[in-house]
Amino acid sequence: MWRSSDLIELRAQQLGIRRLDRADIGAGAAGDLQQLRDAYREFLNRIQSQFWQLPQPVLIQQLASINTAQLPELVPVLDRLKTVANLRAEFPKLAQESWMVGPLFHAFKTAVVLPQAEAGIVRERFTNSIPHKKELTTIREAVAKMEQQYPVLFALERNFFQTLLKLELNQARPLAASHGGQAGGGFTGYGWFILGIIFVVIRIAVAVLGAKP
Amino acid sequence: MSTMPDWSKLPDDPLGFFQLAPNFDRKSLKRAYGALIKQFRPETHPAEFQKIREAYEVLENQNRYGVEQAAMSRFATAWENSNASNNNHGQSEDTVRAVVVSDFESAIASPEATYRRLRMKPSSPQDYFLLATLSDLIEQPDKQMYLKWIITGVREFPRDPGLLRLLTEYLGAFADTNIAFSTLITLSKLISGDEYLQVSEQLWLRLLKQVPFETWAKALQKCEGNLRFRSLRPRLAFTVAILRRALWLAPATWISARKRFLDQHGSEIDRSLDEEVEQLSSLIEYFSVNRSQLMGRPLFSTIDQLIEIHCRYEFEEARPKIAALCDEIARNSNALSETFPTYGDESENNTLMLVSWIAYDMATESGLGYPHVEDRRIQELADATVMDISATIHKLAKRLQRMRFTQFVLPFLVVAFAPMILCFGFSYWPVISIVWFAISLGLYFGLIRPYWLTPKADEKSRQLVLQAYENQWRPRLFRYVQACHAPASRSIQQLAESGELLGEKRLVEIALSYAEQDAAIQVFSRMQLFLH
Repeated sequence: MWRSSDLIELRAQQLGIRRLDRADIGAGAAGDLQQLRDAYREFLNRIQSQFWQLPQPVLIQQLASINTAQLPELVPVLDRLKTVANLRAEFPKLAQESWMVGPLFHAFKTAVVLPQAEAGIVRERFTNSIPHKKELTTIREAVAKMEQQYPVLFALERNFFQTLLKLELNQARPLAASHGGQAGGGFTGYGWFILGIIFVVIRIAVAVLGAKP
Repeated sequence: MSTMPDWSKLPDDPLGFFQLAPNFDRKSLKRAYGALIKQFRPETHPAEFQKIREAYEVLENQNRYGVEQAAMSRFATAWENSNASNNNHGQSEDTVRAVVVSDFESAIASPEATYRRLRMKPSSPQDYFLLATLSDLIEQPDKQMYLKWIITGVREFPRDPGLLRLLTEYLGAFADTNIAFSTLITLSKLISGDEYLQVSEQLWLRLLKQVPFETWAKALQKCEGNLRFRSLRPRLAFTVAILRRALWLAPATWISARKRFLDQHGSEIDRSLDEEVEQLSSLIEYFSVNRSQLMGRPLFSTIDQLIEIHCRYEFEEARPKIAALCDEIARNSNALSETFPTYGDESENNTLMLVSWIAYDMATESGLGYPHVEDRRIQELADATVMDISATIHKLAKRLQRMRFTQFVLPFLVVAFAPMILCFGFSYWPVISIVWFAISLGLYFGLIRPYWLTPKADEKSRQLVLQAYENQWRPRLFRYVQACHAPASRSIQQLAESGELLGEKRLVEIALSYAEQDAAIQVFSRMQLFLH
């Protein structure tokens, strides 16, 4: 009698009764859905890789043609791509700003449309490529101006930009450095202490010798 | 679990299908279900997904209600050998089977005549099933006749597993809201509370989403008044299920009364319900205390919606919203970090534990997996992270050394040598100084250093390390996790390997020991699954 659900389901199908507890996920259309899903994935990948080459109307039209009713997990990435497509005219303006840093713009433009796994690498490579505090300061200034003048673009990669604003650059990466500094030595260790004792001993000796008649 | 499931085991043997032992627990059921869903996702294999989901729901329900293996077998074999016990005519089992088979054949050959004949004198649960099925043909305008016949069958055979399962399936998926309450009240007078709660749970949960809470609660109270229970277990399971969904709708008095019931019988909650009760307690704590404390934090609204949706709706219907909320959390390491600082209080820890549970459930239920990322890429990211972390650790080591000097050495120098300088020039000053120096030395190493300075310095060191974790290592680890887009186990393993290769094993171990206790990083790592 485990077949009770099959019996009830079969009856509903015959009588055309809709389930009330959950949405019908379209059983029986497996082949179609599989093809649809594969096609959408491939389609999205193509759009993401050619995003900046496709004309804007074509891009918007292609993105709008994807029906996400059966693939809800793609909705956020599609919404994001649609937003970027609608704002595409803003990107050349941003690139031409005198304060904009070339590599920062390139990293932003690339990461904003790529799949997450690849976008993460782009952001990291950019962050790790900042050589000195001077460059970091310039980048921070550009980010701050971008937040003021292009808030919608800024919002697309808010987390990346905020990370740059908070970034503490570790210029010295002492991979091969010994840990000897921790064991003592130098004036940050017990050097001062030893020096102090030597000084006091000498001072006492001088005083004692000087006090002798 | 093998790569290809044995479909022939469904629907009769869901335990065998999931390859579970008879005394399985919910975690192993979820794991087995999640592994299959990865292969048969709803959007790609809807028919297979539906079968897996149904088998999962049946086992999950039976497990929650503590239905034993023997009873599960009775459900599985219902109507296969129950005719002898159900019939009152003293016929042999073979004779009854022959009669039943002939009833089905005659129903196909002449439905109207069979319907009229059975209607006069139904004598077995199968007769009522036939009557229900034929009523769809014969009494077409009245679609509720199907349910009426099943209920009439249940009235005559209140513990028949076949009819009870049919009723469970029908009520959960197809019972019309307009007649739902009257059906539930009628049923509460017909069957015992133990069966009633299990049969009607899905309908009660559906109604909770469809009608005002007051109407719902009044009907439930009325039904509960009619019920007689043989055991406590079904009441506990039902209370846990409705309380979780009703938290966002019910008044505080209703919630506390139900919670009190659970608390009173806490000792009788067994292993299979234990995790549910623990989650529920965390939810109640979140709803009644933590929620107001976290209000105003950057990701509060997103996390609050996620918890609410996860509690109130079935995963399939909430998928689009959940996908959007998880995407938002997974993209916002800075906001998540601000919402849950390292030094979390109880509110934050409880909320994080809830989100972690939810993320695990959602990842399992949706069968999501990480895309393939090359080892070389992760290694590159891990190496850069190790270098950054080790640089900050070296800076921290220097800072700690300076701190120890100012905390330990300077006070000693002042105490030991100050009198010497002050007494300079007086008679016997060298003797006074030497005696004072000796006394100070004894006091310092015997009392001050071990009992006062060392604990103070240790506490300060701990604070500095935590500060370094919060301000430097944690943001760096968030970046690393986001860039890896790989399971936490893989990214952590790679970090440890890079630490060893770069000669910074000990330092990486220190940072990871803090990271392992940081639930926010673990939640964030799991959320990356939802990014595309």
